Amino acid sequence: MNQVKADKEMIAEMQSLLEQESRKPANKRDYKMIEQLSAAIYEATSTDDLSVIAEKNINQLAAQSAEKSRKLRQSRWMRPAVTLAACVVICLCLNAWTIHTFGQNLPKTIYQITQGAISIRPSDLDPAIIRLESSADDPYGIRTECEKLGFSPLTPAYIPTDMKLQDLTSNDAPIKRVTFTYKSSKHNNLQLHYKYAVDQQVYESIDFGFPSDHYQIHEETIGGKTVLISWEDEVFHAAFCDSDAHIVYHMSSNYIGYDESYRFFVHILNNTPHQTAQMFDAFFV
Amino acid sequence: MNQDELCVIIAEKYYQPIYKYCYAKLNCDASAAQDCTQNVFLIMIQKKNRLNLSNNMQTWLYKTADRLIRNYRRKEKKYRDQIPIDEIELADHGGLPGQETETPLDCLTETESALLHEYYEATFGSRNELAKKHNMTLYELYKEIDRIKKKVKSNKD
Repeated sequence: MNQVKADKEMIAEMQSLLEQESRKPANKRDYKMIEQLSAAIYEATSTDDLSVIAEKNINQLAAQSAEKSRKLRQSRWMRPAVTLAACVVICLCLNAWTIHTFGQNLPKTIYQITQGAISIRPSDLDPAIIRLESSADDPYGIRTECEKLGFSPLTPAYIPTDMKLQDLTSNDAPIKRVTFTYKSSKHNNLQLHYKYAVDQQVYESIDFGFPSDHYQIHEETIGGKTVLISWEDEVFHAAFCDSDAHIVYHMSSNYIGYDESYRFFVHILNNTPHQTAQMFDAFFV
Repeated sequence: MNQDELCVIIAEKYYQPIYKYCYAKLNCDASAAQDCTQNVFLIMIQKKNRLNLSNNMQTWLYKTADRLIRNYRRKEKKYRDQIPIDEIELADHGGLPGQETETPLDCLTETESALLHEYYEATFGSRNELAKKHNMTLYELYKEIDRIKKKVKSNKD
């Protein structure tokens, strides 16, 4: 038999055996046999000095490994830094756009829309309740507070029991004004603003909402008094200017509902203490 | 020892066996074997932080080599067919001097001579049985035949 053919057949047999062995599951292979067969096939068919090729390629791999480690170290800091920078830029652009387009500051708007829900303060969990001095004809102390600034407005005869006074602000200058903020356990709120307007220009200004298509603002006459009402996104505003007493009444409510808020404002204007407590409790709670 | 140093140690230990394995399975194509081997170790470098390099990496390296060889074969249709024996070029380690002279064979022992004859007379597929008959693996049989051929060649020279 031709020796070259015999050697080629031998290689083919070794390749076939190698193929069989490498088809076995990884944990059942005889790696020593695989190594020996591979080496025999290589030695039978190649005269290249593998150690030279191996050394050159291993050096190349070592350099690549070191380079990859360097890049990994860089990217560990770069990636979050770039992401953070991108987020800041997006927020700034968005804010600039909302200010330019809607005249609204985005964080402020979000804060207003969520009613401060994004801020977590222990005081929110247990808000302080403000208690005012009351009397028979001023059961909630609202009139007394206003009288401290020199004016005496109409006040509600009844405020639902669930609504607690949680904020009170009063200014003597430049305009005399007092704001009472009542909140319920269900996050409804009701604000009563009283403004004593001596100056005609200030007196005529009623600062709520924006006179745009977005807000449904309309005028109504209630008991001979012209009232300006706005209703949008569960936020109710009503204002009335008492030209005789120079007092601006402004009531706003959130998530109380239009009908209830409207009736409450009418109740203040008419100064009707005969309304039953149960009726208003049903409105707000 | 850091991961980079471990990678180099593993490459130094397994580069040649993996290269030879790829070479043998890729029909003795040195260039393809070099590509596959290089890719095996590149993958190891890419995954070095996820692999436990201090463990025995042999199994992982052979499995990765298998995957790369399969991909290579898929791309290169020629590897799908049966290995064309006639296309394999044998290395010049010193073949038999041929039939023209009997002198070089005289240096062989009876056992060596008998084994050489059996080897050349064996048909395709029967050398594995021949190896078993002599209590050898196919690889050991090949090495023995190679040694005998070298002995004959050196005697001739």
